[in-house]
Amino acid sequence: MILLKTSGLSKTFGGLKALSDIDFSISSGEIASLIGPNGAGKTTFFNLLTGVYKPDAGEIDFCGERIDGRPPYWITKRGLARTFQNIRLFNNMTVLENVMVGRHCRTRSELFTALLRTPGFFREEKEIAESAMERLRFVGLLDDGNELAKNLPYGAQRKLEIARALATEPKLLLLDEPSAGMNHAESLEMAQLIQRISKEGITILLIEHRMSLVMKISQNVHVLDHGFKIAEGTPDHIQNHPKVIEAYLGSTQETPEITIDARG
Amino acid sequence: MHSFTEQLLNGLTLGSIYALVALGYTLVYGILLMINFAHSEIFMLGAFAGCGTLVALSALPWPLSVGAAFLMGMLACALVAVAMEKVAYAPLRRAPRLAPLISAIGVSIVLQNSVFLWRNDFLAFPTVFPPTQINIGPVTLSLIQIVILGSSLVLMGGLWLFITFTRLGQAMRACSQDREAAELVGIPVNRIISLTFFIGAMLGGAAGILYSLYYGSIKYNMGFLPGMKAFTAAVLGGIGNVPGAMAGGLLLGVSEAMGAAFLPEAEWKDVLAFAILILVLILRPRGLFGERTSEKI
Repeated sequence: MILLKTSGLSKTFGGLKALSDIDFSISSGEIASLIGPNGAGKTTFFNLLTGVYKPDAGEIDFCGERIDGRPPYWITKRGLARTFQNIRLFNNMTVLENVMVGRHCRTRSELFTALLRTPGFFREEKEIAESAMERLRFVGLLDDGNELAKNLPYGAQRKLEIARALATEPKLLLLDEPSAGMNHAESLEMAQLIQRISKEGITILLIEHRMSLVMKISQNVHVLDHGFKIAEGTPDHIQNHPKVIEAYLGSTQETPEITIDARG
Repeated sequence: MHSFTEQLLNGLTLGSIYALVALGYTLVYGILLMINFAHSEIFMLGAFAGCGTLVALSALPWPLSVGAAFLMGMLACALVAVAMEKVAYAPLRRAPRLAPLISAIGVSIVLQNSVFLWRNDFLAFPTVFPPTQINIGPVTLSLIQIVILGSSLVLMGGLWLFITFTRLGQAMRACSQDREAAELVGIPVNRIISLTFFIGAMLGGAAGILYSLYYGSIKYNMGFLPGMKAFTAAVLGGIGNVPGAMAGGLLLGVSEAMGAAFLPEAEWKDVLAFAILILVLILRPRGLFGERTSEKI
């Protein structure tokens, strides 16, 4: 079943066409990757899906509903969550509180129940804390719950962002370079975490530069270059796709190592 | 020493009012990075709404009429503030930062002059409290001082509990740290902004009533000076920082009371208060409790 589908999606900044006419789809339960050289438009694509930007043309369907032009919080509530390329945690809140904020859209208590301190209010506050702890356990941060987010080491901050996104109960989780800045061992651990999230029934789309990770866990790979989608298919298909090899080798002379072969 | 302790209490009384108003500035700044210059008019409107309620309910025993005055004053202010945000600030969310600032000054003028057109003179604020004096050891407190200190304490404590422990309070803090990320994890940011104005105005309205209970009269421009001082208190504590606004308000109130009592001329009290501000800002440019501010937009 198709979970999310875009057709003819385009976005222009000033004179620059960041994305041109993107047709894309992802099925329920899939792990897919979005790759491409720097500046290909990958994060722009995420920003369009999550409502940060409004598309200039085209449409986005999620669970059979148009979501383009909707505000980000609305889209999150429909079941589309994300993490950020540059980690964006609420630094001066505790680890647990960060995840609890993610529960906001799944809970209801309003100002007046809070002021009146009804029993329902306390029950709900308790439910929020418990399910937030559940997410922390899932990513392995349960012991750090009372730490301030800014005091966590880098790798743990990435995991916390994922826990916060999971707290919103997404159907589709967008991960923007989840293994960026990690060493080999950490990135293997991240790959396992992504696979465990997938086993929970959550569909995953990730932007990733680390090809070993992409090829290992994705069922489908989509390739962007200069705002165009140039290829899509299984990892095997993509690794041998002439256009993909050209995009990586031809246009970014200084980084020929970012090729398609599996590297740490 | 007698008069020192009494001045200290006078200062804390006045300071707790400044603190309540300062919280309104600091909460809004925390989320929108904008100084809501119309907040001093919210303070004034609270006093007028409270006055109206007290006059209308003058037949009731004072605890009831005062309670009703607070309820009405705070609610009226909260609704005006939410409407003001929707009309004058929300459309400018993506405008340069100077634009909402100017809009706030405009709102301030509109609100002040609307009241001016209705009544441009001093109005007596009903004296509801019996002039009871209470002696605690060597210190004499009036009933009104106890009411002011007590209700400010309750309101500030309630605010602290609210933003620390409730889901909406957490959402407010999340918005103040990263508004865009907050919206992307499902926080309806516009609703949280309305809530922030609502709460800030409730505190400001309550402060307006307390202030006029203390001084006994109200006027259309009564918000200007206390508003200015509360803004100063918020900056003193580190704008955007909630405990900072409370501490800044108390510090400003106490220094003003001390200045009035111990400087050769009482008129020097404001000079002392602002000299402290300048000193603090030279030594700690982000205020007493301020953290490293990051440009968020």
